[in-house]
Amino acid sequence: MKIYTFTLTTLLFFIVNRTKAQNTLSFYNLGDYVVQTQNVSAVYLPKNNFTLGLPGIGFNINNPFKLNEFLIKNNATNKLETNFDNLLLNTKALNQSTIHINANIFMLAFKTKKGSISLFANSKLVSNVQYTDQTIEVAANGINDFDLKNNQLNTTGYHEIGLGITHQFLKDKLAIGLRLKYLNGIAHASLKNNASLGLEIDDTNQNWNITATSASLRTSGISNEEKSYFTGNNGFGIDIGATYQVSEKWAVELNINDIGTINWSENNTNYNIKDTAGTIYSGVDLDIDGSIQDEIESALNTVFNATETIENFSTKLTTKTYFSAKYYANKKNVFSTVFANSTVFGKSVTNYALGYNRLHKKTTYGLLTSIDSQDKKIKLGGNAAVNIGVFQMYVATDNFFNTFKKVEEITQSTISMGVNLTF
Amino acid sequence: MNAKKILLLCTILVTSCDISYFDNEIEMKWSGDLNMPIGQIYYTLTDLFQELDINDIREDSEGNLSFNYIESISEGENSNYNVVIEDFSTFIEIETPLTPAVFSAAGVSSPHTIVNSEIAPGIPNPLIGGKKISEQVIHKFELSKSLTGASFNGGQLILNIVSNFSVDVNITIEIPSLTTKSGNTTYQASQIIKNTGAQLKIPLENYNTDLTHNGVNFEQTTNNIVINFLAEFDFKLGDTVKENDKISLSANLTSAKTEVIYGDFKQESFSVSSQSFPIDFFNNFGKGAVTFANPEMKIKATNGYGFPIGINLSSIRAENETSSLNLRYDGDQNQENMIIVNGIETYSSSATPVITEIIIDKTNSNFSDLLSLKPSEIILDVIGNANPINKLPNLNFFASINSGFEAELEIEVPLEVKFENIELSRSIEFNNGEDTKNLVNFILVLNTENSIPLSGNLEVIFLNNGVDLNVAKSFIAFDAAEIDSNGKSSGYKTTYTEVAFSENDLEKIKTATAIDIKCTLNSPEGKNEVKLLGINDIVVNVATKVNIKL
Repeated sequence: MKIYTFTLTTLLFFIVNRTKAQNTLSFYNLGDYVVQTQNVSAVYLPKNNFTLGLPGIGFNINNPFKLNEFLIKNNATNKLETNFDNLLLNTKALNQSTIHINANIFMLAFKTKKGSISLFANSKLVSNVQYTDQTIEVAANGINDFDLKNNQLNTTGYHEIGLGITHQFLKDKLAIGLRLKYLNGIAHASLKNNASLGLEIDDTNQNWNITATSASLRTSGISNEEKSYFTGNNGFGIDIGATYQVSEKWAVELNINDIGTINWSENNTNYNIKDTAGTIYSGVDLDIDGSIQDEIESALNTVFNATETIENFSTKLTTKTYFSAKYYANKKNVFSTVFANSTVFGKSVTNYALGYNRLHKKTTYGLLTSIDSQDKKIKLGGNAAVNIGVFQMYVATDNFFNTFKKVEEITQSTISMGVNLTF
Repeated sequence: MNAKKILLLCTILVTSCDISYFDNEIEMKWSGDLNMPIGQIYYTLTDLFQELDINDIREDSEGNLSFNYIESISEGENSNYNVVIEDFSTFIEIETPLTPAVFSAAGVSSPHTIVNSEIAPGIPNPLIGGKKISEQVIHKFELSKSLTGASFNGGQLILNIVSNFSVDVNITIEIPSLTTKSGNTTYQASQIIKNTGAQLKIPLENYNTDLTHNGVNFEQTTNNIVINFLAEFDFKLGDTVKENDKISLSANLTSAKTEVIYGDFKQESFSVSSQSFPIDFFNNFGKGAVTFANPEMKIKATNGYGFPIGINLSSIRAENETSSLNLRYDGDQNQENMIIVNGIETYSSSATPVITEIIIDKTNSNFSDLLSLKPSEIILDVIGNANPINKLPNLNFFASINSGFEAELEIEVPLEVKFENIELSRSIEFNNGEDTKNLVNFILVLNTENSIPLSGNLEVIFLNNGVDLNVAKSFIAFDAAEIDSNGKSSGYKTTYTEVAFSENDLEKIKTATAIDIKCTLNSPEGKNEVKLLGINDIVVNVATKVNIKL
């Protein structure tokens, strides 16, 4: 059953995590007003003396298809039926998707004379998937000829608990923020780079000619073993950032987030198929006494040379870089340009944004228009952080029109929101 | 815009998310193909026969196959040939030659002591002088056979001589029917008998007997024993003689045992035990015709008797469930349906049995037709008799110690055969209906490579508790390999077959409890018998093209 587990796991990740990378630019622009922006900008010069962050959520999804293209409603049964054929119709040759979820469990920040100190705990899911139409074709049509190349998978779920410090220098023109994070891996799945798996079926005898290169799936924490909240998968990471007030009107900021590594040592299962330029599977000897099904399973394992190992491995976090420049027209109005970059499967994905925010003492709101390097579409987003008494509500999205569509119509969405107690 | 308005806007935006889509239950639906090879079945013809539980297949060094059966026939109860020479007694009496007339002539009366040499001067006393008297007794045995002789290995002949003569009598006993084994000399004994008598004991184990003496010559009759008894008298002065003097010989034969007896056993019936044996080669064969090119039945008979035995084969028959066919043999021009098993011509204790081999084949019988009946059993209900050719007389013997009669029948049927729609059937239990529940279409793909010069059509019938579900599939499973001039396979023939089962078929198959598989075998079209070799093989590659719907 090794190969089945392998295939099933792969498909599961393809189906569930059909999202691609995106950044939280509008949320980034909330800056010092909202303590949770430390997750994208390590520099935090709080507007409040003390902030207690209540649980909040931030997620970015970028999906190459709408949910209702896959889950078709059957009006007769009122059930949502999976439809891989429809999915295949709407699939491009190469598809990338990302889902990033950041659940803020706890956040505590003190304003200091020269900056801030914060404690935080987050749970994160970072999933990047790249798949080809061939992959969906297999899912839709079953086992026919296929050549699965250029499929990539990197999904990591982890907790981070850390301490953040921001300190100002050079007469408060320069502020440097540093966040030190203990990482605890929950689950992980990733395909080896350049993994490929091919199958050619002989028209006459249906014999399989199997090719495989680097077909290896590393997983941790996805077996059925009983899980605890914290695991033995430990790691360490840092976020670092700096702002510099160039002049009264201009400021620039650079942040590099999620530099770190998790060592996976618990509940690991690595599924490997040995490299082959062509292995023929022609079935089994049917003249046996035992179960033919068992014999076929055994033969497939042999042909695929599939192995399971439990060896430890380490993964790096998906590092994101933000660079921004702000122009303060006056004390109430600020214009910003933001560049956000991350590297997914060796390719750089950059988002550009122009934003405006109205600034009050403890309240800010604004608009932002962004474009990413991949789909070149212009999106309009906005943000707001509002204080009513000690309560601070915040919300931010990079794409108004997608975010507030019906959920089944959404292909891209970025939203972060939550409630804080500010003093 | 103040804070409250912003808050209101945010609230509206957040709560405007419509997630009612997820109120609906999600149901997994999927359909797709699974095209894959399942595996291979490889059978040589030898393997196939084993699979069919046919275990009597023999393969020679050149790979030629034949099915063989060997069965033995033994004799039944034939004790009637073992003739026992019963005890007998016979008696001979010789009276004195001095009859009352002689006494009267001598002028004396009996009894009388001879005192005068002359009854008158010059006239000798008639009571004085020598006399010879002989008698012969012929005893004819009451036997079931006409014996001409025997060799004894036990028993004795006791001769008692009783005399009431007061004078000595010189007697000679000759038994021409008895000759010594050592010197082949006739038994003869001479002795002077006093008035007390005498007894002679003849141990028979030292003697042969010739029972053809009629009192005058040999080879005149059978079952006779002859005894000649001669008495010689010499009366002298002083002898006391009586007119009623006599001397007698009684002969008593007791407990005679024979090593061998000779005679003419005529055409006495010879009992042979009936046998039958199953032919399982055809157990799996259903309808259709089968013709064998050169089947033969070899009979190897071993005869340890001193006479030939004729075996009538006309009651050998092949039987199947519905009919039977008797063997017809015309290999012997004189005796229809008869084979002659020669016997030992000359007796000796070390003589070896005579082995006769006879081959019954298509040149002298209808044996091929018996096999074309696809019999389940061969019945060997044979009848025998001695001297199938009656020579009048027949010179036979029967030894008490003999090797008897035994016949071994070896049926050898080379698989040079012509099949015409021969059906092989097999029924298989089926309880995998549930496995088909997600299948929409199922195509069974068969690729065969066949070097057997037989074609095979398969019919697969699905049954529910014996009721045909009408989902039968009939298809060409394999084509016959080409043959060379010797009728042997000359290579492989490749056949590609797809057998499609629709969704409707699969729905019915779910209820199946059994599958009947019929394989119809045919020789290559337009060809006569082909030779089947053990190395002829077939490789069946099985694959599936399945459409699955979840």
